[in-house]
Amino acid sequence: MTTPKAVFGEDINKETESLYKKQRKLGEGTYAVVYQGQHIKTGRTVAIKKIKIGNMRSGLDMSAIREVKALQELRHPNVIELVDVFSHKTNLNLVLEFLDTDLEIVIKDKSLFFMPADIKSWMMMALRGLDHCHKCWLLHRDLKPNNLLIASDGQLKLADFGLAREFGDVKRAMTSQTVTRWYRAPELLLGASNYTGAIDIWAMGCIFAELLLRTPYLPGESDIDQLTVIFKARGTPTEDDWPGMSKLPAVFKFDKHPRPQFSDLFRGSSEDAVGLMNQMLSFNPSSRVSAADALNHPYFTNLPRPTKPAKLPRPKKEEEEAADIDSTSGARKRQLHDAFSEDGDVFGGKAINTADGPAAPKRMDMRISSPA
Amino acid sequence: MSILASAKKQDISAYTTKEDSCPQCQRMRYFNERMMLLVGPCYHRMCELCLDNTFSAGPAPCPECQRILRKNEFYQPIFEDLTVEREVRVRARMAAAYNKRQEDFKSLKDYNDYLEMVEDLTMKLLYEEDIDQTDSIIEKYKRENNAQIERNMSKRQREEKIQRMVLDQEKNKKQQLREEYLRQLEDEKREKVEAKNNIINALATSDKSAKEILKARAVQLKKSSLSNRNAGRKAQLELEALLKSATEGFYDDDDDIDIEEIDDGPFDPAESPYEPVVVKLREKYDDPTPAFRQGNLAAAGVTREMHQRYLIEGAMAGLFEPPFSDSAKSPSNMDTSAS
Repeated sequence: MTTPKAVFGEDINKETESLYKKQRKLGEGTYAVVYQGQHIKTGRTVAIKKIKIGNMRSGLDMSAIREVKALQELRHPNVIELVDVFSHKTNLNLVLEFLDTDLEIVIKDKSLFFMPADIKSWMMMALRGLDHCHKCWLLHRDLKPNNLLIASDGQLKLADFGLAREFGDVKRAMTSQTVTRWYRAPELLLGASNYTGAIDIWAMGCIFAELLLRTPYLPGESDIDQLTVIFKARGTPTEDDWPGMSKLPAVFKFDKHPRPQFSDLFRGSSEDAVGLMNQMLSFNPSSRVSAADALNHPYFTNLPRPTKPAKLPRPKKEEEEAADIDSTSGARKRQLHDAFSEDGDVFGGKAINTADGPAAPKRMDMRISSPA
Repeated sequence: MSILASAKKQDISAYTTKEDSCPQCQRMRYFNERMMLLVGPCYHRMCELCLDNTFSAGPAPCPECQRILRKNEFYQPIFEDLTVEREVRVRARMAAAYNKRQEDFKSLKDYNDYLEMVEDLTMKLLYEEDIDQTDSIIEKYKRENNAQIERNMSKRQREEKIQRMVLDQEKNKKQQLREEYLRQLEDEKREKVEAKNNIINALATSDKSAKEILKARAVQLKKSSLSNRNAGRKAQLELEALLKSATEGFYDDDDDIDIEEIDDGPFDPAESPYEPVVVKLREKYDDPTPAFRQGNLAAAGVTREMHQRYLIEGAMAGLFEPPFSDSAKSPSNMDTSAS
């Protein structure tokens, strides 16, 4: 990481720190602040994640250790790169690859239209990254669109390894309180104390569905509600679907929901896409596909070919947006967008949707003015 | 024609969102796209299933307001906001009764006073003030002015009929123009083939020189195509103008999808910069791990095979990697995934 002149740890640390300069704040999370920075010599833009440990009573935050530990193991085009680590006073700084947007922003940007090939490309990149993690016996444990970052060349990369940990050892219990609720696998919701890469695949299946639907697929409002939503959307599993299910710690008596016709909800999607998604959202973790098998599913080799990363849709930057308002094509696109967006405005400018709140009937002035 | 009737005719469907749910049984549209939410005269929503359940034995009270309702009074609302739905229906009812026109009045002031009066009544209905009294006023008006209401209604229907006819005519004209154009294309094609056959015949049978025949033919061709063109020209121009106006502004030139790069050969979706990890497991190990006896591991997808693979791969990781040489200074080049 440094030229090996310095001998003592402090010197190495100081040298590393002097390689980078912080430029501007990008965002702040619960346990870290992220800055945009630059490698002074090469000019490479980086993200510097400053972990606040000054106010941490019990030493370094667990997720910081997890993140460093996981990222040091991983080097893959579809996993965020940990460039350097240094400390400054009582803060730990992770120097990470700079990535400008994430999949959540892309999904929410309703001015972007997704082609089936685009979704295929994102899924392929995400699964390649995940396959690498699983080959290294690492679980990500917090997959969601927000944590799939997108580089300026369109490459999608797994990020935020704050909850990542090693798996495979059955002797060490693992917590089932992990993964953002909407993407949490059923075995976690039922309190499994040991699990496998299948939990990441479930989350990936939810992301796949979210890409197809442009809205979260299983939005539970609480942990119990999450199970209900899953069962409503996927049908309540039986002991045949999921052998051993009743032995999981938190199993209770579920309401029976029939398995709905998936092709109804995913009407616009191809059969192989829905097929792969169903395999990724299988209740039984043992029959859920692995990342490697998912990549070998015919969905990825069938036409259309996945879009080249550089050609994937991406949100416009602010400057581009401003320039676009002047040009007529931008106005045209906006019009089209308005006409097709779900928010109404379909009836020639007069929205039939009155979602802004109940409109009290207003007295109309019907009188006709006399001709001048 | 009332707004509601015309909406029905144009097949405007009800406003729905995925978040809709039935207030009675809480069923969500998210899981049943074809769910229908209906409303009755008291403007309370109910899904079809609840409707069937509630009114299976004839008239029953509305579960929200206890007003006695019948099943056949329920319909699918067009607007999401039921106050809007109600207002539209009230106004439709008023417009059917109070359909006098300006020419029915002596002065503009009279007409405006009449409009004011109608609007007053409408507001009373909408805000539910003296409903019974207002209803009786409207009914009385209807009885007294029955003849005129009928007359104005038929007048209006006539006007609408004429309007529809004009629209139909325009549509037919477009259709005719298009057929005409297609027929001309067909004719031209046939003539060309015929001409060709004629030349071949002439060359084969007559004793004139080939040059002469071809020359005569060229003159004839020029004439016929000229007259043809003049006749077809006008229709074609009209058609093109029509087509253009219909599609104008719909396509964006710079939005063309480029077709060139669709396929560039086979590729491996599972491509990775690393060599695959190859560890052969034995058929059976003497594995005393007690955790497997409980059986809840299998339900979470944790298998003996996976556990053994983890241990063996861990034990062998890096065994066959060459040690770092001087050229690989940075430990970040280290590939810890291979074993």
